Amino acid sequence: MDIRIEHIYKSYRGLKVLEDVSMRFPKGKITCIMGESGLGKTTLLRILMGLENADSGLIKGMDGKKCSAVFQDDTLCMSLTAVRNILLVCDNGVAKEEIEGQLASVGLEGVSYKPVRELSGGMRRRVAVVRALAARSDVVIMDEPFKGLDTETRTKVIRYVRKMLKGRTLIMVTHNEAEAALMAGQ
Amino acid sequence: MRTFITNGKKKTGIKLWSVLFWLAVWQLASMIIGQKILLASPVSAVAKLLDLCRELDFWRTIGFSLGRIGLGFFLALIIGVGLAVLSSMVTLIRDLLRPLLAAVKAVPVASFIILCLVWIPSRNLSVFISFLTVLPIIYTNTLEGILNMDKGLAELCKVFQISRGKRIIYIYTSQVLPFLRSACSISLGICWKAGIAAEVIGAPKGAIGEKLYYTKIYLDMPALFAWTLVIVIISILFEKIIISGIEYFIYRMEHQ
Repeated sequence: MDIRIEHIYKSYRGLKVLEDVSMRFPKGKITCIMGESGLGKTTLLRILMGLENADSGLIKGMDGKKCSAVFQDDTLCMSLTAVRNILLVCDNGVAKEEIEGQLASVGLEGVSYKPVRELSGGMRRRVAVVRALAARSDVVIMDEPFKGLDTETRTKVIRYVRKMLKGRTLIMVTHNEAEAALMAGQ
Repeated sequence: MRTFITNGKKKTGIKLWSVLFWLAVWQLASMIIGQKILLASPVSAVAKLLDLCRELDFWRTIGFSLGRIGLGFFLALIIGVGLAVLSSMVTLIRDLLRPLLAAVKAVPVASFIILCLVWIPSRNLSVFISFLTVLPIIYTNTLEGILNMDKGLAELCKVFQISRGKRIIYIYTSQVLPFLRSACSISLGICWKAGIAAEVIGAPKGAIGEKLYYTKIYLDMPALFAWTLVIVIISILFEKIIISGIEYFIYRMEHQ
C-alpha cells in the first residue's frame, strides 16, 4: 500500500512550516523530496516518523509499518562502537561479521569497533546509513543521508543503499539533483 | 549531546619530589619540637605501622572497617541509582526526595552520628553513616545523567522501536556511566572520612575508629599517625579499585 499524506498543516508559534501539503510515496519505490532550506522537508519527515504531530491533515498507509531512518544529525550513541550502534536496531541473532561486512561496503573497514565519537563526520554519516538499512523495516526515511560525503564515497554509498533497499519504500530528502538522479539509477 | 572527551591528560597528579619535600618538613618539625607526644615523626609513624602489620588484630581491624564502610557505600550506590531512575520517571518522587536529600546534605555528619547512636548499635553505625553521605551524591549525579540524556536518542528508540532491555543496557547505561563514575570518585573519599568519624565517636570494638580513639586516650601519637596512614592508603586503594572497575566497564561497553 502506498503512503499518502493529505492536506498537512504544521506551524511553530504561528510560523507556518507546512501548508496544505499532499504527497504520495509509492510502495517499494524511491521518492526524493527536494527543495530549498526552510521549506519544512525535515518537519515532514518527522511527522511521517511519528516524532511530531501535524496541526491538521491525514497520513495514510503508515499504520503497522516499521520505520528506520537516517536522522538529520546522525543520532548515534557516541560512546558505542559502529557495530554496536547498528546491532542496537537489528533483530537479535544478527552476526557482528555481517555488520562488519556492511560497514566495509561503504568504505568503513577497520573502524567497526571504534567508539563512534572517534570517527569523522562523514564516517558517522555512513554508520547512520548502514544502521537505517540493517534494521528490519518496511519504510526507510533518510534526511540528507549523503551530507558531507565526497563524490566517490557518495557514489559507493548510493550503490549500497540501492542494493540494500530490497523492495522497501524509501523517502529521502536531498538538496542535490545529482544524488536524486543517482538514486533513480540514472 | 554531552560527551566526555579530554584532549590529552593534563598532568595534575602528585609529584614524588613534592611528597618527599613535605615528609622532610614533617621530619624536621618533629625533630625541632623533640616531643613525640606533640608531633610524632614520619619515621616513628612508619615504624609503628610496620609493628602493627605483624599483628593479626591489625588486619582484622582493617577488615572490620573496610567491610562496614564498603557495605554502606555499595548500598548507597544501588539505592541511589535506583532512586534516580525512579525520580527520572516519576516527578512526584523527585519532588518528594528533594527536601529530604537536601537536608541530608546540609546536616553535619557529626549530628547524624550522635543522633544515630541512639538507634543503631555502634558496630553498624559506620554502615549507615557512609551510606548517608554517599547517597545524595550518587542520586544527584545519576539523576543529572538521566535528565541530560540526549533527546535525539529517545527519538531513535521510538522510530526504531528499540526494546526496553537494549535501551537500558546500551543507551541509558552508556549515557549515565560517566556521571556515575564522577559521583563515585567524589563520594569514595567522603565516605571513608565519614565512616571513620562515626567509628571514632561510636568506638565499636575492633574498628579503626576505636584504635584512633585509644590513641587519643593514651596520647600515642605514632599510632595515631600510623592508623591515619592506614586510612589514607585504604581510601586510595578502595577508590582506585572502584573507579578502575567502572572504567573497565565503560571501556568494555565502548569497544564491544
